[in-house]
Amino acid sequence: MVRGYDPSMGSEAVLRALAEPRRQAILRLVRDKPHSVNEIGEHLGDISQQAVSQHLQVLAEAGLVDVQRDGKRRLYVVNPKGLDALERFLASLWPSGLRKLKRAVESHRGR
Amino acid sequence: MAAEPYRDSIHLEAEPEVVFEYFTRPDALVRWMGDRAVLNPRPGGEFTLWFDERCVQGRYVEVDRPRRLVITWGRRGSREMPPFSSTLEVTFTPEAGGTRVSIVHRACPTTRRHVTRSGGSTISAACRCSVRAASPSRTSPRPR
Repeated sequence: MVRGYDPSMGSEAVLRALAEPRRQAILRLVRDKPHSVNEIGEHLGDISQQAVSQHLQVLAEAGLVDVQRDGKRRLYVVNPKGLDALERFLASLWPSGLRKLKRAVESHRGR
Repeated sequence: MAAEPYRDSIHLEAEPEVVFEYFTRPDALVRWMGDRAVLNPRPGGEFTLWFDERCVQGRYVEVDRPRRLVITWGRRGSREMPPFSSTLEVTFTPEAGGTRVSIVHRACPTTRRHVTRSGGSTISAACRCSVRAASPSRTSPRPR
């Protein structure tokens, strides 16, 4: 069973969730459209359903995915709030911040 | 924020004097970070930055134009990184064709009742300085 988002876990949970390439792949999949655990496993290949479920649990605890019911099926979807929080968090920190700094500084040269 | 400091650096095609402004002038800062800023770039001066409804709150600890900045840093309402609970150190080093901007962002124990969960193990000169950064500051958005 996937537990819901615990806001107190905050940015550390988000970073931990995204530190694993498989979880990044899962997040991309469910961002495109809702997927069941089985479908995610088929896409990734060479991974047990249990491992997929564990990855989903980490993503859910970080607030990055949610569960949707479709009849008896449980479908995993991206949590837009989680993504927004992630974007703000990354935008407020490094390294995307430094890239933005570079763009800002260099585009205003010679102004 | 993990106890290990976060380190990163980037090369910019601009003089250190120019890049420094992007950490000390509100109109320049918001070109790359946040939506609105109140900055008073002198030791003890306010560093407040809004991202939508979120707010980064801290103070300038060291201001060595155009070489080095130390800023305390945290999030209003954050348990992990409350205001003033971390320290951002920025150095501006001239190099061929421009400037290398290097950052070290570390958790910082404070004497306040808020202590970061992971911050107990890192004590640095910058962190000790942040304690004195509780002096009052003006809220003027014009730094100079």
